[in-house]
Amino acid sequence: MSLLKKTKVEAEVSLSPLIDAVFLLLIFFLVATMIKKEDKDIDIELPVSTSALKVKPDDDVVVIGIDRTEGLYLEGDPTSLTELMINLRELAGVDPGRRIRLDTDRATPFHRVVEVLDMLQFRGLSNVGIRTYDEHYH
Amino acid sequence: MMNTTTDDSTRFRRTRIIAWSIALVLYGGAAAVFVLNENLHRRTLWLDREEVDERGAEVRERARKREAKVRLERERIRLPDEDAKELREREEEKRRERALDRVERIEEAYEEVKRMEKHNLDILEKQRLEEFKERERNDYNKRTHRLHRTAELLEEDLREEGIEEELREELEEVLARTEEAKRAAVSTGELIEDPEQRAKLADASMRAKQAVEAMVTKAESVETPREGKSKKRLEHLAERAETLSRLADELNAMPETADQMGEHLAETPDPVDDADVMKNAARKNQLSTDELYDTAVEMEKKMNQRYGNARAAELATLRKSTFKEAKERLANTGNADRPNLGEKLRESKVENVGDLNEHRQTLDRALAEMENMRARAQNRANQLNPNSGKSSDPKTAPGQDIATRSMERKQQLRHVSHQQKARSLDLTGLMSSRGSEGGSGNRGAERLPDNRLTEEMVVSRALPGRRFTDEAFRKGWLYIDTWYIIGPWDLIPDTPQHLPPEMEIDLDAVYTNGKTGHPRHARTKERMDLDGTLKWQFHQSDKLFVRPPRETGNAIYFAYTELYFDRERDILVAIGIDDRSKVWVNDQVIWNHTAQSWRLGTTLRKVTFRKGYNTVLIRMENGAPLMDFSLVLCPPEALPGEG
Repeated sequence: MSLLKKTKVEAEVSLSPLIDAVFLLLIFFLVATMIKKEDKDIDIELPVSTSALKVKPDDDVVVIGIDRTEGLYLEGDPTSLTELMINLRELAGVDPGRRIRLDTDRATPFHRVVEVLDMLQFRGLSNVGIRTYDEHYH
Repeated sequence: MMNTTTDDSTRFRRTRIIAWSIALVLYGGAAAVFVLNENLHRRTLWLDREEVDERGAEVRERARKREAKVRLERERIRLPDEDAKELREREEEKRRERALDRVERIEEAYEEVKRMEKHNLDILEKQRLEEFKERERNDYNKRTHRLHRTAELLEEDLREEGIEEELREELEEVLARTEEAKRAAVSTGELIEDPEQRAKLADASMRAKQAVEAMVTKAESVETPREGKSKKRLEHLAERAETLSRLADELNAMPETADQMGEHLAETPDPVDDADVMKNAARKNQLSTDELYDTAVEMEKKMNQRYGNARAAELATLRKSTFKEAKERLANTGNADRPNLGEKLRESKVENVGDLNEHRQTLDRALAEMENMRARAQNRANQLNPNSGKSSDPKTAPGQDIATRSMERKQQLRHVSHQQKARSLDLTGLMSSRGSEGGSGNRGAERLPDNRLTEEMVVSRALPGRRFTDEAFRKGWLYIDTWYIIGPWDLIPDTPQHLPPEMEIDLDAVYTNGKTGHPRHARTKERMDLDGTLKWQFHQSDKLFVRPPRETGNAIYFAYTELYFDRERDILVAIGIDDRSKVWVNDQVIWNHTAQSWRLGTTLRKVTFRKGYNTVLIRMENGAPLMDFSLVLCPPEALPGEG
C-alpha cells in the first residue's frame, strides 16, 4: 500500500524569472530616463572647507569658473571679462535671484575672486555660493 | 571554624574598603590636578591650533616632497617610440576640436570686421567725393568767371589806354577761350566724375592759357603808357590762366571712376592682403592643432589691420579729416605679440612622460591664447557693429566706441568743459534725455552757486558704493571705490597723446606701448620692472583716495568704472585729481581740468546719469610721482539753494 501511495507535489511559480524581469525593467528605465547632464566643471583643484554647507543640486545654477591662471569660464566654457560682464548684466535683468556657483582653484589669486564677486554684487546678483571640495562628489 | 570564617570575611571587607579608598583618593587627586591645571588638560586632551598647523605643515611638506619625487621619477620614465607618438597624437586630437571651434569663431568675427572696414571706407570715400565735387564745382566756376571777367576788364583798360586795336585779335581770342573755359567749368561741375568732361575742362583751360600767353608775347612788342593799368591786368590775367590750367590738369589726372576718385581723395589704404590666411582658414578641417594656432595668430594680425582701418575711416568721416590724419590720431593699439607656440608644438619631442606633460601644457597654453584671440576678435566686431554682438544694451556695454556717438552734444560738452575749467557747472541741460525731449530744454551749461562743498564735508559723509537706488541705504555721498585701472604710459610734455582707452574700452585688451624701464614706485620707492605691457587691473580702495597700482611720475593712467542708477538722476560730481585730468561720463566729457594739487569739492559738475548702467572713464596725467584721485557723487541737496 505504501508503495502505491503517491507523493503529492504542489505546483508553484518560480520567482526567479520574475525578479530577473523586474531588474531588467528597472535597469532599462534607469538607462532610458537618465538625462545627460551638461558638464560645467573645469579642470581645477577646489579649496577644502570643513564648514561648507551642502546644498541640493540645482541644474539651473549658473557656474562661473576661475582657474589658477585667472582664466574665466562661464558654464564650463572659456570666456572673457567683457563677455562675462555682458552675460551677467543680461542675467541680472532677467533673473536676479538666479543661483550662481563660483568654482575657483585653490591657487586662484584672491583678488580675481573678489573681482568676480564684486561684479556679481554690483549687478544685483546676490544668490552666490562658492564651491568647495566634496569627497563624495569626487 | 565559624570564628575563622567571620574574621576572614571582616578582613576581606576592610581590605576592600581600603583599596577602594586609595583608588578614590588617587582618582580624585588625578581629577583635581587635571581640572585645576588647564594647561595640562589642554595639552592632554586637545591639540592647540599652532601645533595642528605646525604638524599639518610638516605633513603637507612631506607629502609635497614625496609627490615631487614621484613626479620626477615618473617624468623620467622613457616611453617607447610608438607609444610616445600615439600619446602625443591623442593629446593633440583631444584639443583639436576646441582649437577648430576657436578658429571658426575668430573667422566669423574677422568676416564681420572685414565687412565693417569696407562699409566704413566706402562711407568715407563717398563723403570725400561729395565734398570734392561741391568744392570743385564752386572753385572752377569762380575761377573761370574771374578769368573771363579779368579779360573783360583788360579789354576796357586797353581801350582807355588806346592800344586796344593793336591787340584786338589776341584779345578776342582770349575772350573766346575764357568764355569756353567758363562753359566747360559749368558742365564739369555737374559731371566731375566723368573723365571726358574733365578732359574738356583741361583742354579749354589750356587753350585759354595759350591765348593769354600769346597775348602777353604780343603785348611785349606794344608800347604801353608808363604805369599802364593794362600791363598789371595782363600779368594778373596770365597768373589766373596759369593757375586754372594747372588745377584743370590736376583734375584731369584724377582716377577715372568715381570709386577710384573717392579712394584717391580719402587716401584710403591699400587692401589688406589676407589671401594666405583665408586659404588656410578655408581648409581648417584638415589642419593640425599647431597649424590652427598659426592660422588664428595670422588672422588676428590681419584683423587688427582691418580694425584699425575701420576705426580710422569712422573717425575721418566724423571729423572730416583724411584717413591718414585719422590713423595718426587713432592711438596705436599696441597689440600683444602672441607667443610662437605653433613652432614650439611642431618641434617638441616626446620621449618621456615629462616631455609629454610639457607638450600637454603647451597645447593648453595655445588653446588659452586662442580663446583670448576669439574674445578680442568678438569684442572688436561688436565695437564696430554693436548689433553683431548679443549685448542687449550696446550703449552701456563695455568695449564701446567712445569717439563716435552723438558727436554734436559731445562737442558742446567738450567745449564747455574745456572753456569753463575752474567753474562749477550744471551740465544736465546738455546731458539729460528729458532735455532733448523738450522737458527742460536743451539749455546748455549753467553756472552753479559759488557755495562750495568743503573737503571735510565730503570726506565725512561719503561711503563707498556704485549703485544708486531708492531702496538703497546709501542714497547719496558715495565715493567710487571700485575701478579698473590701466597704466602707466609715458607722459610726453606739450605733445598731444591719444591713447587706446580714449577710443575703446576693452577690459581684456593687452597693450604693449606702455612705459618701460625701472622707475621707482612712488610710495614704496622700490624699483619696478616695466616692460611696456599694460592690462586693465581691478582695483578696490577702502579709502576715498584711489591710487594706481604702479604709481610713478611722468605717466598717464586711465581709470574705468560703471555706476548703476534705478532711474535718471541729476547728481553732483566732485572730482579730486592733481595735475591734468579728463573725465567722461557715458562717453561725454564733463571735466577737463588741470589742478596743482588734489582738492575735492572746489569745482563741481552737476551731471545727468541715465537709468541703468553708466560708464565713467578718467584720464590722469601725472608729473610728480605721487598721485591720488577721488570721485564722489553727492546729492543735489548738498548745495545750498538746491532741492
